[in-house]
Amino acid sequence: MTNRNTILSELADLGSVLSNHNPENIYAVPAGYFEGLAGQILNRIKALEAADAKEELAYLSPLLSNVSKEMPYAVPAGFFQNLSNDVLKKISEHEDHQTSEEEIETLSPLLGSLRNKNPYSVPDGYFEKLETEIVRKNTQKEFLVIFGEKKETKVISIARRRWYRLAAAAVFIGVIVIGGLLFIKQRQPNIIIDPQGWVYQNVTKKVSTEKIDEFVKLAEDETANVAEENDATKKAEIKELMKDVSEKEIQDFLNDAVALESNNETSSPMNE
Amino acid sequence: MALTTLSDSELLVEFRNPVTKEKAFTSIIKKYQEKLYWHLRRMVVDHDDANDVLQNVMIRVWNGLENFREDSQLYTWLYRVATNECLTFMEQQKKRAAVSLSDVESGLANKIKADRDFDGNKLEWKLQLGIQQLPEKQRIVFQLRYYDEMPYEEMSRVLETSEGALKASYHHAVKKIEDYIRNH
Repeated sequence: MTNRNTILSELADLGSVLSNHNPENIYAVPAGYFEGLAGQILNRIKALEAADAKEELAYLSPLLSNVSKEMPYAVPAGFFQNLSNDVLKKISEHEDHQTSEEEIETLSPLLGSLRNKNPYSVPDGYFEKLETEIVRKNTQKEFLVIFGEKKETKVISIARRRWYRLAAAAVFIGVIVIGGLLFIKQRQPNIIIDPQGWVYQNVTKKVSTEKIDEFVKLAEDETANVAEENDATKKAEIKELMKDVSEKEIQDFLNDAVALESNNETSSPMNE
Repeated sequence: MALTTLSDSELLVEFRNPVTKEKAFTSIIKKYQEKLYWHLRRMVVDHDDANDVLQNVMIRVWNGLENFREDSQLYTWLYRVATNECLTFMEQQKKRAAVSLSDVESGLANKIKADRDFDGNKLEWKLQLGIQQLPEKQRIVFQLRYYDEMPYEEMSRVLETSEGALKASYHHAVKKIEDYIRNH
């Protein structure tokens, strides 16, 4: 009460309306809650520590622990008796569940009908004698081992293995082919290093002799025509250049040229 | 020796043998059919729905038992398969009806009331209605503990939830159902 009075006087000093307000609890508590709380908590602890479900339920809810657990729902007659057959039938109807017989019948009835028809024949008494034969051969081998005969080591011949032979043949052919290709390539002149050789190898050799002769004749004719044209052109040019030069100047030039030539001949080391 | 007298381990051995596979599977069904059926029926209420789910469960068992690693009991594994199948079924029901799960729950309560043998005055029917008030997972917890008396350790493996959470869930469920029964 002392604390309460202190708080109220504090509120009054502050001028708060709360100093006149009587605090009330607005929240409701179920009837008998606090009276039963301790017992409830204790039961809950015991339920947590219970040995089994029955004991646990007895602590948690005596009401429920006394209710019959028999289900009130009805089940159709014979349901459980037929269930396993119904399930197996459903499984067999599922497309993934098929025996090999069913599978082949589905895929090909023809092949399915041939399943058990074996066309191969077996010599008479083969299976009856087989075991005896194997035992005899084994006995023979053991006899050889016991009496010190060299134990035959199993020889796996490479020649017998078909795939070895095929592989060896393939490698050999490959080597021949690659070697041949390389050899041919070497004989071919390189177009960059030896363009004339390349042209001869790849062009000229493929052209016939008659065609080459024809080409050469054409070229000669063409050259002769071009030479004649050039001569004519040159003569016209010289004429144009010399039109302002007199006869006397040309003669003097020629005389000087002859004199110079004769001087060169006399001073040559060959004449010393 | 008749397969029905074999233990779970022995039945698994027989199941893995192609010659005795079907017989072993039949024995497993006969051994656990009622337990699994009622576990499912209490969840889905309707017999036809329970039958559909149960058959789907058994088909899953047929396909998956070969790879069962035996790191838990067989019946724990079966319950897990059944519970998951049941939850999937209820989820599909919800989607098909395009309703919320709470509507599904009230729908289940209506199914209970629609049962031809329903008697609202009888305590066992009130109990069923009370159970349907619970959220889905809490309902499973309650049923596994209350009806099947499954140890929390096993339940933890079935529902992949901690034992502590399961205990708390069960205790709350008991309280809620008791309150429902008292008030209705």
